[in-house]
Amino acid sequence: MNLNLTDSQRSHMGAVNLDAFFCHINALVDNPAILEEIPGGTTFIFRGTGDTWVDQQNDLLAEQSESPGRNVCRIGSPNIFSLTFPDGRQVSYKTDYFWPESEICQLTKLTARQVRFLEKEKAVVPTLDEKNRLFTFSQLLQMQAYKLIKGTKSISQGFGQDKDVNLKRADLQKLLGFYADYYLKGDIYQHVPMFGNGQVFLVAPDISNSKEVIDAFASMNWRSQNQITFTLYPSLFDVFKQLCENAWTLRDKEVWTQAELEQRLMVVAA
Amino acid sequence: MDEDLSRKDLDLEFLYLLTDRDRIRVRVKTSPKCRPTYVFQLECRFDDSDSWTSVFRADDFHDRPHLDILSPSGKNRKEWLYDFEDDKLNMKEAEQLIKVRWEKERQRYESELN
Repeated sequence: MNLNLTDSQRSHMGAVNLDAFFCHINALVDNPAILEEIPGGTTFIFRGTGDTWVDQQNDLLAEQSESPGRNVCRIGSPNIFSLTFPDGRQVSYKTDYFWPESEICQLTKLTARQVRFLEKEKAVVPTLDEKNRLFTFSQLLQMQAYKLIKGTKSISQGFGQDKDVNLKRADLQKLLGFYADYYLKGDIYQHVPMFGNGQVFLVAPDISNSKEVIDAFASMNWRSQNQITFTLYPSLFDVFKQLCENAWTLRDKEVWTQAELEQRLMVVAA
Repeated sequence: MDEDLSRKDLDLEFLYLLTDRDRIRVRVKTSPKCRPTYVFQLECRFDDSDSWTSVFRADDFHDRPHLDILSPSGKNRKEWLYDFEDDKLNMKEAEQLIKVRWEKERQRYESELN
């Protein structure tokens, strides 16, 4: 295994990967159910660290590390995020593209006022350049999630109803944080965030596997409260699927030109 | 293998590759109810060697969070850390220390080798 790096290149690569590593390990520790699924002896190599050069070096490292009997696992978010529908339509998002507010509104169908609300609540905070407030792909996911949550009153499944997003600021931050965190961790797209008792729980498609939730239920003092409401929200996969549907609609209605589509995302014909 | 790392208290072990010459070995408990709960160990390759050497470690063995500063001479040293009495907080503190010190510890070990 050799990348022929200078000392300063190795220093940079190590620092970037360390940041990604600690983000990953903290997520694992917070979700013991995922931890239990990792085969012992796995070697993790990151991709999608946000640094193109480091990502290239990590790709080389992965190629050199693969050998029979060695469990090498790539983690992190890819540069392209794609979904192919059963009818063959394909939408691919470029995850390094920065979205201005106007495009966010077109794509997610949030109003500018709603985007400003999320910003004011510090649930989604944009990057500022000279002219624009720009949003990352993970923030785009957060905003599409918010739109789905606001627009869907039937998401709650038996634990109570949250008919509007009447969450306190900190709770809204936690809930939308789920979507950014799990996108960045590149994992568990079909798990559903469940909010209740001031916490966001991670629920597997089969709730019986969600040890964290079961432990939390068991530890609650049910007698001391008149009502505890738990609300299930859309999964990260549901959110991404909606983004892909919306992109396809924009293409069909020719709201965006072909050049604009290619710049922001790639929509491939069926 | 070092005494702390060879203990069986932690049931899950994996590696993170940082560069072609640096990696972090992680050992954790899948159901942490008591200490020890974590080990983060920096391992490095030096010169043209293909083998990995343990250089520096953060863990909460011996009931208290600490760093093990490893040496090629075998004269290893412990640095005890403030105990927040919260394992996750201690782990985060250890992460910060590794971020700040990993390169310095690599250079230290390399200079002790020569």
